[in-house]
Parts: sequence; C-alpha cells; structure tokens
Amino acid sequence: MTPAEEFEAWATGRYGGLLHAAYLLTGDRDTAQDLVQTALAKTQVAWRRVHTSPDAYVRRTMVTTHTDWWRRQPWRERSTATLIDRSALGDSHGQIDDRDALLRALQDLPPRMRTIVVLRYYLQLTETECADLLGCSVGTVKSTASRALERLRAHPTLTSKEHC
Amino acid sequence: MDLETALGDPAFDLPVPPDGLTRVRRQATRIRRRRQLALTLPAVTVVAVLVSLLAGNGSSRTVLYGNQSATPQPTQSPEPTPTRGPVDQTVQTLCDLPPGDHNSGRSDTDGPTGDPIDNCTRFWRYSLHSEPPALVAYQDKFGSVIVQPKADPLPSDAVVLAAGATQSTEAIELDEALGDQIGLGPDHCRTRQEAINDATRVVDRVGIAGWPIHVDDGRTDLAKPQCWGFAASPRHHYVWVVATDGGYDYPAVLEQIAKPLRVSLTECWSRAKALAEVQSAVARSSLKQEFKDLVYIRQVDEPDTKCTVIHMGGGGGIEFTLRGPV
Repeated sequence: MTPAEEFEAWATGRYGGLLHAAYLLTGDRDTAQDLVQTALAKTQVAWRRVHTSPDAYVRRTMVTTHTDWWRRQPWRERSTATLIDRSALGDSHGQIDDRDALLRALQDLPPRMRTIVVLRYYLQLTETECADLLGCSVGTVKSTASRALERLRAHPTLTSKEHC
Repeated sequence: MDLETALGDPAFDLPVPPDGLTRVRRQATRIRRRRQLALTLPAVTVVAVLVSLLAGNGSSRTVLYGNQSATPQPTQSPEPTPTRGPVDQTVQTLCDLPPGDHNSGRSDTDGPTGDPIDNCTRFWRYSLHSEPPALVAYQDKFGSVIVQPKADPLPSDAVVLAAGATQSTEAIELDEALGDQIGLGPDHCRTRQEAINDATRVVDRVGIAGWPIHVDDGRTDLAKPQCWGFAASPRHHYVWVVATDGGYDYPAVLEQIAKPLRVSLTECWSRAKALAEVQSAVARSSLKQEFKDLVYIRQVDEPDTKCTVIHMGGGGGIEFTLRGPV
C-alpha cells in the first residue's frame, strides 16, 4: 500500500468522527467541514512523518486550526439565534430540543473551555492527553473542565435537563 | 443523560461529503505549494527557471537545494543507466525530504560539498533529527539534480548518478551569491543593465576567476514586461544573464531578516558573531514559527579569510551559508 493509499484508508475511517467533533467545536456544519478538511489536508502533508500516530496529530491540528480561526476571526464568536441546523440532525422528536440546548450551551463557552469539553467528554482523551495536546498543565485541564461543567450546568437552556 | 452520552449523540454526526477526500487532496496540494511559495525568494525562483533553461528546457519547475518537496513520482522506472563524473548541467539540488515539521535553532557546521547525497544527508539529519534511509541522486529530464530515498519510485526519465558524481563547489558558492538577498539587496524586477551590473558585482565580490558574464538576448518568446535574472552555468562556465518572465513579490518579512545582516557587508564579523546575528534576525522577525522551523544555517570553515560572508537564499525555507574563520 502506498503512503497515499494508506492515508486515504485512514482518513476514510476517521472522517465521520472528526466531523462530529468539529461540529461540537464550531456549532456550524459548513465550518465543521472546512475544519476537518483543513486538518486532514495538513495531516496528509505531514503523513510520512506522522503515519505511525496520525490520530493524535489530526486532533492537535484540528484544535490548533480552530483556535487560529477564532483568533483571526473574532466575529465568529458572536452567538447567533440560529445555531443549530435541525435538518442536519435528522430528528424531529423531542430530543432535538436537548441537542439544540446542548449545542447552544457549548457555543456559549469560551473556545478553550469548549475544546476541553469536546476533547475530554466526546473524544474521551485523558487529562494528560488533553494537557499534552493543548500545551498546558494537567491542573489547567482539570480546573478548566471543572469550570466548564459548572457553566454548562448553570446554562439557562440546560438547567432543567440534567445533562451533566 | 450524562455529558459523554449527550455529546456522542449520533444526531451530531454530519454526512461525510462524497467529494471530501478529493477536497482534502486539493487542499493538501495547496498547503504544500503555499509553504514553498511563501518563502521562495523571487531571485532564486528566477535562478531555478534559468537552470531549467540552461538544461535546454523551459520548464518552470522550481528546483532548489533544500527545498521541502514530496511529490511522489508515479511510476517505477526500469533501472536507469548510471552516469559518472561531474554534474555539469545544474548547480542546485532538490533534497526531497518527507514533508512535515522541521526543526531549526541549530546550525550545520559542514558546508556544502560537491556530493549531492552527502549534502542531502546532512540536511536531512539537521532538519528531521533522524538518519535518512538510503538515498539516490539522479538528474531529471531538465538536468536538475534530485536526491530522494532509494525506496521511492523514480521517474521514468531519471538518470541515476553513480556514487562519486560531483557538483562544482565553486559553482555552488557562486550560485549562492547570485541568489543572495543580503549582498544584492531586496529582490526586484531588474532591467537588462541592472542584471549585468549585479551579476558583475557578485562575481567580483566572490572573487572567482574564469566565470565571464554572458548576456543572452536570444529569448523572444516572453511576453512583456520582462525581468532579467542570472545564474551560474557549470556546463558553460559562465554567468548567464537572460530575460525571464518571473513575477516579483518580495515578502517583506525576508527584508526584515536581511536588512540587519547587511551590516556584515561593512563590518568584519567572526563566524560566531555572524551565526548569532542570523539567529537573532530570524527570531526578531515576524516570520511565522512554521517557517522559522524551515530555516537552515550552514557554516563553511574558511580559515584563510578574515571576515564572514553571509549568503541568504533558499526556497521552501530560508537557507543561510556562513563562510568564514572559526
């Protein structure tokens, strides 16, 4: 298998999961697709060096790219009234309100907090892995995650739903 | 519902776009190009074009020593015929490293030799902090020297260079000086006369005898406006001045780095001082970290000289060569 084929096989298997994570990070379908595309493209460029542990590399790339976008485009941080694309969820039952609320609450977290929540509780990285990926101490991950959970619990859209 | 379950809800899954990987491939190509183009010095680009022209082909492929390129060749060729002896068509060598994060901050203490594999091996160790696999050097159809891992497929028209094939170190030094952004100042679109003057000045400054200036007025295939460039031709043993159609977009950040180093043209710096000044200029510049990691500093021991000469050139990265006494 050539490196290109190896990359494509790996990327095909990861694409969906990365999109899910990117959607949680960005709250926007198009931005999520752009983010995954960019992270995978950077991973492909680095493939010969990172092919033994590409998952860690692509996660790091996705997080740093997302952070970079936020820094450069602060307008993205504004909350919008139409955060969730209901049609994308393919669900018209009551649960959609829960998801809507969760996504909205996530988007109201500061970017770093949101990233830690996604890394810890969706991608299920350990605190040490999060710290390594974000370039901070384990203590910072712990305290940030803790504050993030508090804020989610206190978020108006989630106060009656016991998500956390 | 706990947070893990809520975040992992399949309803957050987005449909994978059917052309997703195609778009990834295109973007990866753009990233590679952008990394190369962002720091490809215009003068060196012109030199590369000239090198291709010298080899009798108008290809615009940029072939630069130390360039970070990883375009895999599509097909394995039949065993090419090895050649021996001097490599007389080109000066510059493409050292085909795997792409990825390179590291800088140290400097290579052995300057370029005439052996392209030896040069690439050192560049590999320096940049990637690892031992390269077995390497092979070949000339492509444009006469350019490419060094790549032996295990990678060769293009069908590659002519493999046997061990011991050499490039002229004199030509390498002259070529460095002809692409140098410190001695020549910020690059720009030169007129014919400016190109002649600058080429003459470089030959005089380097002090290499037997390399006349050859002005080529024969190109009629270029759309105006034309800019003029120059390159060393090891085959003809002259400095070739010729019109090119290269574009000029000199990145300001390169001038940020080059400007303070021009003091070395009037002051006499030791090599240690020159190295410190180069590292300081790079660190103070607004060059993004990912490009700082592509900075390559070579040192050449020239014990008979008194002052250090700094050449700044490159493509895909910035390469400094410091020639002077310890």
